[in-house]
Amino acid sequence: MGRSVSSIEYKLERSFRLRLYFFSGLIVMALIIFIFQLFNLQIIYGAENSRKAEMFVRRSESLPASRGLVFDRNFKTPEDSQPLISNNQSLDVVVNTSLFKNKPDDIREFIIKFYKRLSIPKAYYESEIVEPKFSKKIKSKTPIILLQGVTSEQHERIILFDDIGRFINFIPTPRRIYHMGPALAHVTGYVGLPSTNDLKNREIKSYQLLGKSGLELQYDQHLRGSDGFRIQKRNSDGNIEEERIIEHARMGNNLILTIDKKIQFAAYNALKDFRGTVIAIRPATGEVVALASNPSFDPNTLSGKNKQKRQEHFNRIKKSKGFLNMALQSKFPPASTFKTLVGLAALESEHKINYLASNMFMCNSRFYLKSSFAGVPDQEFLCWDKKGHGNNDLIHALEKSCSVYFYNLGYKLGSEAILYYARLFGLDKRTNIDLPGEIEGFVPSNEWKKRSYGNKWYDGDTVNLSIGQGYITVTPIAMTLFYMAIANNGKVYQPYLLGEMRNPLDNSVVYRTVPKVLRDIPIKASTLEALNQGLRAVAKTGTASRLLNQPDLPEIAGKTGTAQTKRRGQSSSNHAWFIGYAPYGAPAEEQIIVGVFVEHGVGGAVGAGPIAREVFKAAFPPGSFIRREKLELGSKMDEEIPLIQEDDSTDTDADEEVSP
Amino acid sequence: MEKRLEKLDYILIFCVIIAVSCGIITLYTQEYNVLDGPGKWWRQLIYFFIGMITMILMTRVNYQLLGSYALPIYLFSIVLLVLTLVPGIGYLPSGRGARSWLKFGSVQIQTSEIAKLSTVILLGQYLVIREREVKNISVLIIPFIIVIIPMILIILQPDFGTAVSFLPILLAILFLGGADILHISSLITLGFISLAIPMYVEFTKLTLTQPLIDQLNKINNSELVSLVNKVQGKIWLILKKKAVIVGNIQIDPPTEKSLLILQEAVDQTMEENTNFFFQIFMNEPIMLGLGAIFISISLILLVIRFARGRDQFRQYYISLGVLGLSIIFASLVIKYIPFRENQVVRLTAFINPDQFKQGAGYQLRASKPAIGSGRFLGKGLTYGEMTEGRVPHVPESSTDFIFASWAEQTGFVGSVFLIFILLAIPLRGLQVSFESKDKFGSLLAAGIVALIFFHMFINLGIVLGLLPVTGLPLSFVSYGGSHLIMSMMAVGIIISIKIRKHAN
Repeated sequence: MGRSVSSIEYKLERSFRLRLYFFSGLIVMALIIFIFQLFNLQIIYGAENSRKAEMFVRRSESLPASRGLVFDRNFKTPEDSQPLISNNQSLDVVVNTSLFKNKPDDIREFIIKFYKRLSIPKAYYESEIVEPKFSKKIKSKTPIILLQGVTSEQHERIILFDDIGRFINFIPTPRRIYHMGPALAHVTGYVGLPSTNDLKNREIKSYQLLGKSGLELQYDQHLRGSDGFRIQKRNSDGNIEEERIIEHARMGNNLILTIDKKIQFAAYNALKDFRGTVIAIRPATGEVVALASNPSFDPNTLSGKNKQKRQEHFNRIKKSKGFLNMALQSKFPPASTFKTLVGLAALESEHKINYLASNMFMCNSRFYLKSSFAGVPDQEFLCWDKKGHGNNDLIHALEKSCSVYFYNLGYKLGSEAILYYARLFGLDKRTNIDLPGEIEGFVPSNEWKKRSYGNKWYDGDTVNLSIGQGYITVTPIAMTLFYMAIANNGKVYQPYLLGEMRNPLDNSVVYRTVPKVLRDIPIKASTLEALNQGLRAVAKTGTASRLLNQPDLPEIAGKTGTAQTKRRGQSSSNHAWFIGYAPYGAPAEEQIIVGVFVEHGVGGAVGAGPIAREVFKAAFPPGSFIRREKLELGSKMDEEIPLIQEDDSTDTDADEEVSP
Repeated sequence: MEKRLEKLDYILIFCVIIAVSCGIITLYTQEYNVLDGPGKWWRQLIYFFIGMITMILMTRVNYQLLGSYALPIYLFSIVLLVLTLVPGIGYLPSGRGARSWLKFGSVQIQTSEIAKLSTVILLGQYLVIREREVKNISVLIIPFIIVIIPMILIILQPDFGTAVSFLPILLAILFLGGADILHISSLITLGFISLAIPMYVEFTKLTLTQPLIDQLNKINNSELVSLVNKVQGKIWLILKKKAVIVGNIQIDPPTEKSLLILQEAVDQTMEENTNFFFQIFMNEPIMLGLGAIFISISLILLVIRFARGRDQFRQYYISLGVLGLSIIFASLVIKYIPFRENQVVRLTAFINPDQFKQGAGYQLRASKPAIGSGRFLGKGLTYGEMTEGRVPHVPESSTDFIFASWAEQTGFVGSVFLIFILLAIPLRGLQVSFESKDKFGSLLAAGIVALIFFHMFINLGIVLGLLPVTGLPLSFVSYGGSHLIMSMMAVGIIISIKIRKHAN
């Protein structure tokens, strides 16, 4: 071999060896990188990776808690008392989606197969598996409920299908039973599964029941309880290998309401044929013993398992405005029930207008208002009784509900004072009752008139206001609270429905409502005496006496009202009011205030009176009261039905209702 | 005979036996809690014995014989690959990780494994013959042809991962065979840049979907929002006025007017949400211009070099030329090659597997926690919850992702032990290559080392989340007879080289 050749050989050999070293270096570097990454994954991020792995292997499953029960005020122990709302377990069938490989398609196929096996018509489930809604549902992991409230016969059949059984789970789901049904619906409300919006905005899981209205909504957090959960380890066949309950489900608290079942039933039944509302409150505390509104809805249907029925009922009720709790979600002119407030305003400002309860105004059924402005015609206001009431003082004016008296009084007093007291007694405020959706009444003002009508507050407006007509509108509950002040020396308690909250396990009291004074207005004793006498006279000898001055009733004091509505010319379209309390003269602790409002109820006494009578009767069963006064069956007044007035300013927007 | 036994590389054999045992143990523990398991560990044990016999047989065969018959062996393996593609003979399993088989009665052979080994032998033989001219670029053409033929046949099977694994093996053998470093690095640069830039662009595009929806929401175009929501990453095809298929529903591009609005929104989104580089990469004139400038400078240098007649500027004009070409290639790939969304996800998921819930992203999302949850000492054998059972949470946990299973059960300690054992095999092979006095022996040993090492490197890189997901088994450990027997045969060849290192 030549020298040059061997030198090339040598060079090649050397370069080859160098490259081998380099390659060895590459392998060692790979070794270091891998060990470094292993250290990273197993040591540095070991704990985090363990947690991630846990999520792959173990699945936590919720144990749904049942909602708390609801009782009325006569509650003793959960065992002895008949609840207003209770629970009933039912079985739902849910698809176990995690076992499907080819997600939307295989599941859809399975669902169709499932329904076919149970010979359920296609129409029942067709809308559930439409694209792209279905894919979205699978993607968002919404549980797919195949059947709700499975019957035991269905249950047995489904278990026998080998090929179906392993893909479905039976989930016990609590259902709500509303024992009073529509009678208490506006108080209890109803429950349902959360909507997409609820899921986004509230802390709730898709399978949990959510209060949709009423107390179910108001106290949802307390009623719901807390779900437990168990951890399941499933093997690759989808069978549960290991199960551990980490946390037991805790049932929601039981609620004990201030509602009295008996009075509530009486109120609802009396109301059944009308559109209207009844509120019964104990003036000494603010406890609401009855709160009914008609038309009503059936919470059992709305919380029920039949989706179609649910939807149908919902639409029907929505159309008839049945979801409206008229006691707090509608407002009307207070009509003659407002006269008490005008009287109070006058008596409280007597030093300014030089007025005493004994002052008389002459009523010949007409009140002329000379216009104080050029261009505004003179006006004539009528009393409801064409014969006129003659000379009356305040007590007799209240008794006979003499409008001319109050026209005069209001005119003399001026709008400012009346509106001041209307506001003072919170007619334009919420009562803060523990129900969702309460609205405010409306008390006008000079500035408001100017702003919305472009002209100033006329004397005619004042005259109209003095009998509770015109622009003013109030919610029935706010008006009822005004009478609470009269019965209670100016003290008004915030109305409430929740008496106590109790732990379902040991029946211990978790929370007890302390009556809260909403407002305490100093009223002169003389004023109160005059007004109470007037109110008592209404029921004793006045407009409501025919119905309410009966031996089977305690002494009642109150005031009727008939609000004129747009539909003029038909007396039956007037709204009827009665707000009163009993027993008259008894301590506040024994008293109950009842407010009745009936839409298109013809007249205060004829429309609202009988309903109030039924409620008082239920609240004071024979023997529970002693009549202090001798029953006088004196001259009874005729029905108060206002004459139809020509003047436009008496028009009120009585049909105004505000949806929640 | 005694002398020969003395020369056997016991360290190498020991490492192989330990590695295979670890694999069999893992397979056994995976089935430990399953009733009527498929018995993969039992079959792997049989393959192991066959492999041992093959390995011992190979130590008896003079490796130089392999050199003489390199071409017939190679041609035979190509014929096998072609046969795989023939319907009726070839057996294409459906489903995940599809690799193609040749079926002889009850025996199934993965022909690509034979092709790997035969290609390495032929490459070694060729480079030894042309040893002195190997610096010339023209000599490199034949090795490329040798590799390209099996690669194309394997891609047709289709087994992309295996096909791609030929490239690093080729480069390693060329490198060890003495090819010019500049040539090799040029190849690497060209391949890397013209693939990495398009991948970066496609990956960025995928991440733009959400900002695009936000942008469309801002201009209140609910129709387009729902369109983007439906087609997601395929919106870029819609922009090119192509209909796309989502699920089983064909979605046609919207009207001209909506397309204009969409284009505007896309431009706006890109401007706000992408970095400088992405915008350069998307800008075709700049890319082509940049490439052209590099190539022109390189050409000028080339002209000067020939004018002077001296070997000057070589490293400059080659690297500049390659850079220019790569940029132009990258730009053309971005424009003309329609990557499918799942391909992009597959190749880029390892960067951030949590972003991709399905497919390749899922494999990594499962495999990393599986490894990590082993912590320091592991969960213990038969307690690998993530990787055991009929349908383990980590897919392919008996084949490509078997290391995840081992790491989960034995923790950091076991994993480091196995990695040492595994990488000792190529290191030991290099030792043999180093000691061999015969050029073919050295090169063959080095080629086999490259084959084994790149399998290990790519597989472990994937499983540990450092490399894009392609399907390659972990040599000696993964379940599968063909690859195990091939690997052990390769080790047998290395031992044969060692035994005969002084023979000539």
